[in-house]
Amino acid sequence: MVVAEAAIRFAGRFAERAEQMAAAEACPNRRAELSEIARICRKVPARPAETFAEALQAFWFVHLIIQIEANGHSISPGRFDQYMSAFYEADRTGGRLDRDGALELLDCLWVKFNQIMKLRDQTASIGFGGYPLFQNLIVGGQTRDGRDATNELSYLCLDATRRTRLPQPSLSVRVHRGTPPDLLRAASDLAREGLGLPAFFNDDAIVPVLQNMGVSLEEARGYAEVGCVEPQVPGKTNGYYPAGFLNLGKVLTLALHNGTDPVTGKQLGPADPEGRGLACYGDIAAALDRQLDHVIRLIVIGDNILDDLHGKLAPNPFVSLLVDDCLARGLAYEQGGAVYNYTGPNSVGLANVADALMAIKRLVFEERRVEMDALLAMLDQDFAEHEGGRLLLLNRAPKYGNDNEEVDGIARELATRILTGFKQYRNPRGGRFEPGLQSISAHALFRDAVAATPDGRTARMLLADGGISPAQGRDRRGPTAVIRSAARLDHREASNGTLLNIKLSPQSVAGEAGLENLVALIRTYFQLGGQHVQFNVINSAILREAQRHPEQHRDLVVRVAGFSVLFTTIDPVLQEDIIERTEHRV
Amino acid sequence: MSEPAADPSGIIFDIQRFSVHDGPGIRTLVFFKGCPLACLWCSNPESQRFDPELLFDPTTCLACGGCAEVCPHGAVWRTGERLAYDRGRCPACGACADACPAEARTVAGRRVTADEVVAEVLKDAPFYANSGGGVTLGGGEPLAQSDFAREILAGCRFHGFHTAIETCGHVPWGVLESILPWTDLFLYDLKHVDAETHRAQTGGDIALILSNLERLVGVGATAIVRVPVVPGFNDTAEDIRAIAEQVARLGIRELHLLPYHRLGQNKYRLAGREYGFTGGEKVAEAELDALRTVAQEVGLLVKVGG
Repeated sequence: MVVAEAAIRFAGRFAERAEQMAAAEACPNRRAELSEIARICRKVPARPAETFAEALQAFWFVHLIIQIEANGHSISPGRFDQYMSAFYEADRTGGRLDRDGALELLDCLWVKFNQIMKLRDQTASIGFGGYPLFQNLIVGGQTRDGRDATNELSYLCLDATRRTRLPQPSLSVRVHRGTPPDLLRAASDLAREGLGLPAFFNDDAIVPVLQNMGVSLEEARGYAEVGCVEPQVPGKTNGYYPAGFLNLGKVLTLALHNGTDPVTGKQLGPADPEGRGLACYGDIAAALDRQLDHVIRLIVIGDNILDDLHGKLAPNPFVSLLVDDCLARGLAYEQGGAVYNYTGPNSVGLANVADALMAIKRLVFEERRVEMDALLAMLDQDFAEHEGGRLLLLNRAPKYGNDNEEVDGIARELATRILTGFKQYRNPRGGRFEPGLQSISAHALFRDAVAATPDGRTARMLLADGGISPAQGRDRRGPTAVIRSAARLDHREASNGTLLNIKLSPQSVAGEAGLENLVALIRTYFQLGGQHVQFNVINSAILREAQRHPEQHRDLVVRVAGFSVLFTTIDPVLQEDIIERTEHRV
Repeated sequence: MSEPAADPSGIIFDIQRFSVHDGPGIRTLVFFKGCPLACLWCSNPESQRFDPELLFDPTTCLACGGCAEVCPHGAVWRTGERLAYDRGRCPACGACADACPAEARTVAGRRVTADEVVAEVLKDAPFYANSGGGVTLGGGEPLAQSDFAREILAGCRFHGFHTAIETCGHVPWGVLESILPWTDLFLYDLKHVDAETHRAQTGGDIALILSNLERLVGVGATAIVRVPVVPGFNDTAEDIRAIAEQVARLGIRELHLLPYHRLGQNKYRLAGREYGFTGGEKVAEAELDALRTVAQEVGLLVKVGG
């Protein structure tokens, strides 16, 4: 009651301010606007909103108070087009609002989403790629009874992002078999503008994942995403995301050194009690398993301590007011008050470790082109004086992201191993660990922490970005091969989501035909079982970066009719020409 | 004519997935190796000869000497810090390419069976279904290996994929006729309509190319004509108008203007060959727009870039 009254008083202060400004305003139009703002702020959230503008204001107060109450990020509006649609429709049929007027209001809200800024320490700013707030707003999808839920507001939200060109909200689109082609086309058209938005989510993969987590079919159909790619039932869930990032690259280096960290020389993981060496591929897999078990357990312990402390020291009453069943249970959101309670750790470097295991299998144990001891020595010297050996590892074994069944199979097995490893644990709120395959920007955070790895990666090179994206520059067979590789993972097990970034050249998605091809990429990935995909359109900055670090950009293909060539292999003069044309286009 | 093999094989130098400029939708483009023409501006020099060729990139070579150790032909050997290479002794067997960690030595061209190609094409089947795409045979000249090409086209058609072929048309009519039942779209090159100019720059007979095109249209095949717009060769309004009029006269609706580019120039160096084309750097955007208008005025649907 106290916080609810505080929320009303909070709105009242906005009303007062608007009244003062109106009184001092000379321009009659502006004065009328300010008086209307004051009227609305007096009305909501104390009493129910009746118009679209009132509903937007009520939404914004609630959203803002949650942001103020907790210092967390990823406070996500969820299915905005669904819960706002009735207000929009009523105003439209009542003749109080036209499409342009509604769009202007949305534009204003979109600007507000970008005005929130929270203090972050340096570690967090690297790990999250700056200061984004991950306010995930998702449109489209299905109703509780499985019909398509797309409405006019779904399209207006896409338009607002196109017009404001701002990074927030993190706009997402839910796609299912019955999604209207027009919505998918409009969303794809926005995606090819190069904003990195919207993200696409696959109902046909995600609804069953939620059902697996004990959610009913009807509720699962109402899912929204939190932050990046974490699916949950809005209004009923406390998901602790991201509950740490498992650094797979580090785990591999521990496995290769019997638990000793080659960066610090410390014994961080368990040594093999039986003192076996690494004489066959099975030994490598067993050593990795041992380190994984250990590190997963450590992450779980750390998460649960923090979780427990949040409940004891920092309960958030306002959020608890809004999430079922906090009131009925008499428990705060952080104390197990929510219906669903998850802890969602992520993992980083899946592609690197799959590539590394593949290289060891192929080059050390099958073809015997490198001795295990020689490989370890190269790694310990960070490949200094061993460029030939490094390139052998990089070029002479298949890499994840190229539609190669063998290495993709290794990635799948590894991913499933991690996911099931986490799922055996529970959190203090009575919920389960629901792990995901996404890295946000943690791969940047781990840059200095991981020694050289057998995939031909030197110590300073970044681990793969995204959760299930191929390692940088190693996907050399185009987006269809990337999609086939990514779809080979078991997305059913990744209950905290999977994240796939795909890079597209602007020429490949230009024009009507290009738009249809982009739609086909999304449709196909989703038919093959992928959960999420988002697109980066190659721009001149990426090409400049490729000139400086060609090895990490061997996925950049220049395609024209009857011809294709790797960007990094062409003459610098021609590279300049392509960069210029790319700049011109975007 | 000998009896065709049960699973004919041929030589290709690449299979490129997600090709989006060579026919409708998302396609897989199979690059055949070997061509009857020898255009000076060719952007795929490794497509011209019918045998495998070794490509060597000295800029990525580590001079580790792994190649010299494995070469069974004495074609590469160490001299001091560097490696010497005699292309004349090299049959491009690929032993050095397999040993090379840096991918400085690669082989362009591998012999594969039609079934193997179809299996590779099959991988992107769901993408074709969702985009109206399929397979395109290009090269090189696919019809210079016509049994192989026909078997791939038939195999892809069996799986329901849209099939296209890029051809210079410089083959006996019987060869074109034999692939007709399996081919949905012909992307037909037409470079010049003047016999002398055409022969001088490409080595080919334009009369054969034109009569084949006319017969293709006559039997109801779908064809799009593609013109590589090459500076100093066919980039004037008169050149393009002459081609466009010829195309329109045959009843073909669509014309693609493919601007000359030098993106393949580096590959000449890798193949140890001279880049012989000296006609100019590129066709300016404004000039291309003007040429597009010329062809449109003749009544054709014109696309720049395919």
